Amino acid sequence: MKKKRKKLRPYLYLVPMAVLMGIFVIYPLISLFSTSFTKWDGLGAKEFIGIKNYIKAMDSTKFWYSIKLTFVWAILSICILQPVGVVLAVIVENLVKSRRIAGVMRTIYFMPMLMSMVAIGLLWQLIYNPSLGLLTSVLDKLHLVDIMNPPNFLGSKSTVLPAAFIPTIWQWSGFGMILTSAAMMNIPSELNEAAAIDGAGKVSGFFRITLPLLMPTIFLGMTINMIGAFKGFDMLYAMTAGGPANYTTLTSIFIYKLSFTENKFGYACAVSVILIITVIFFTVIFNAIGKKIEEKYT
Amino acid sequence: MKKKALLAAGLAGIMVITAAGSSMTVMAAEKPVITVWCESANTSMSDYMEAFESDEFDVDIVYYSSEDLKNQVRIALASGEGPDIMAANTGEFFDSIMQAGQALELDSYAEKYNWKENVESDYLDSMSMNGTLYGLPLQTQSAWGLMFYNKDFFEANDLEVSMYPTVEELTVLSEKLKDAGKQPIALGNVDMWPGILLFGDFLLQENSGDIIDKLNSGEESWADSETVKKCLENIAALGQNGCFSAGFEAQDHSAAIESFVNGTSAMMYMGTWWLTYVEGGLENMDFEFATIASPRIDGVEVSKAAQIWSSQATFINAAAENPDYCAEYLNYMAAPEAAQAQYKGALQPTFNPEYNENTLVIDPQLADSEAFNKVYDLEKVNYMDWNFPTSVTEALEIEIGKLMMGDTTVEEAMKEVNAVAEEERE
Repeated sequence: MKKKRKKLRPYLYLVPMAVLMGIFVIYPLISLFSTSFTKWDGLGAKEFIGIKNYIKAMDSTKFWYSIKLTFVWAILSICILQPVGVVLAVIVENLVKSRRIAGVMRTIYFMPMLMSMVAIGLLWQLIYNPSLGLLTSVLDKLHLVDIMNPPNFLGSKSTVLPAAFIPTIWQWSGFGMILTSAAMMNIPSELNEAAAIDGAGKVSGFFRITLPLLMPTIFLGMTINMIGAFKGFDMLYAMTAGGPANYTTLTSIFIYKLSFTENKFGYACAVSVILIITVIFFTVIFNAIGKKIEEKYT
Repeated sequence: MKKKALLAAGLAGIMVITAAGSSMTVMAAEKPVITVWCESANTSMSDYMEAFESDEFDVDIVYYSSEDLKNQVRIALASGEGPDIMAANTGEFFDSIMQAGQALELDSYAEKYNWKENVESDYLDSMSMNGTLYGLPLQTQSAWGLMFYNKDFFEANDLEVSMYPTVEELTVLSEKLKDAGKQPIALGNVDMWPGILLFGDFLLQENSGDIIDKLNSGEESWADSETVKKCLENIAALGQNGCFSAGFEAQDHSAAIESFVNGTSAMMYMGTWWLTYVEGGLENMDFEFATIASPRIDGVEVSKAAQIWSSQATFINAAAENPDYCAEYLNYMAAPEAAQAQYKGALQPTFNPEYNENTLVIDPQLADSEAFNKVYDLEKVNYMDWNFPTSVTEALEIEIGKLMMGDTTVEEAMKEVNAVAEEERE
């Protein structure tokens, strides 16, 4: 009897979290999946329509356009955010001599992470505003723009996505820096000291010792940024609302508009399921590559 | 002994607090609370709403922004919950609420409280289904079809604009305004509804409201309609000829209003509701403004219809526990005193026809305009972003955005919208 109780006890400790997971993760996922096979306006009864919503998504140019934009956003996130974080970490950990200043810099770089995404979106919308914004004002003071025809970064198809990504760099690079800084602190100093004795300079020491040892962390950061990019919504929506036209309508914004503007909840759920499968697929691939990198460098 | 005495005193204290708490609960339970969800109101109106007193029930009011209110109402009704009184946009959304039986029938209350005479009757049809009334139009009657310009700046720079300006005239004027150091027409199209309202203003210049039914039924095709073509051509010309302020594609309506009020832009295309956005009231503006008609199709002055609507239906939840109390509060909201509070904060015609007829004094910056005076005599049509199925509205908004930026052709835009409209009809 006692043995049975002992065996049961660890599982009992898991019950509270399992219940919460069940209510807030498993049930919504099941509900999402089942709703994706229905036609539902969010108010009346759900009508079962099989896989029609999935077929509709596959045939929709709007859906594929949103997927294309999401991939561009994800590639920008993977290729830019973590590398910038590494650069910041190197500046803070290796180039700044004073630990106190390094601490202050770390706080400053990380601070944007603590701000509300919506507030950042609205703030940068104002900064970019050609007739009222800070950017035009500064460029005008430097005589770099014609004030009557100022640059319109958020109002043009070619510039809106990169311009909207800049606040993401500003906000998320601090996260990459903290990850990298923590990993750099864990690298045994003996390795660099031994390399220095063998004649390695700071630069070659960084590229031959520090960077390879950081690779698993860098890759972890890239994976987190990729997942974040696929879900990217709040800041971008606050800044551009998916526009101008539909030039920044990532799949997450597309889903929001389908459900809360067009009231097509069934269709929105189907697109959400596709997005979830896509994220899982790429996460699995990234994890597999990550494991190989870890095996190679550790 | 001391410990026991302390314990006893503590227990007694807890019992007293608990008893007081439960008696308070009983007292609170004796007076039911009516919950009201509504759009954020101006101060005079919210003061009026909160001043309601009754011996029989209390009222708890929750304010939301327009978009949040829509989402909250939908989520609450979908989950079978929701407040006792709420507001929803007329058109597809309120239609679905009426069809789902989630709004209480108001006919008997309408008769009891004489609502059909206290509120503008033009809007009651959109709040009724099969002849039964389900909602009340308690919003101000904001009008579109107008533009505003900085009169002081125009006079100081010897600039003129006609009461019914064509796109061509506005194109020439915009160049002159830029030369004089001002952005031309302030517009905030990031949320894309201003674009579709501009489309509506063009559409109703040569057509009555029937055109909407024709487009929705397919009698008039989005792909072949000469009317639609003309409207989109004019919108494309305005956007591509530089008639709007720089960055109009990516700024919202409040930035557009700010741009006009702070003098960055010399003109503005906006509904009359912008008057409530001026901090401290119109007397706090640094310049005098004047009102003219929205951009015209060549050869058209007065429109056939105007986008003036009470866009929200205020209704009682069919599941409300105390519908009589709800109706009593709704009647308080429909009283002439409510209209007065509404005007005080909004400076434009209210929901109450008697008040509008006998008491209302419109600011001369609007009232002196021939275009403004004529607009309220026209056939009233709901705001264009609520007239079509939402997927068609969404497609039209996107295509208008692209047209203004020169990223598509009028013919392509018409085809795109038509494809969505056909799919919706299927």
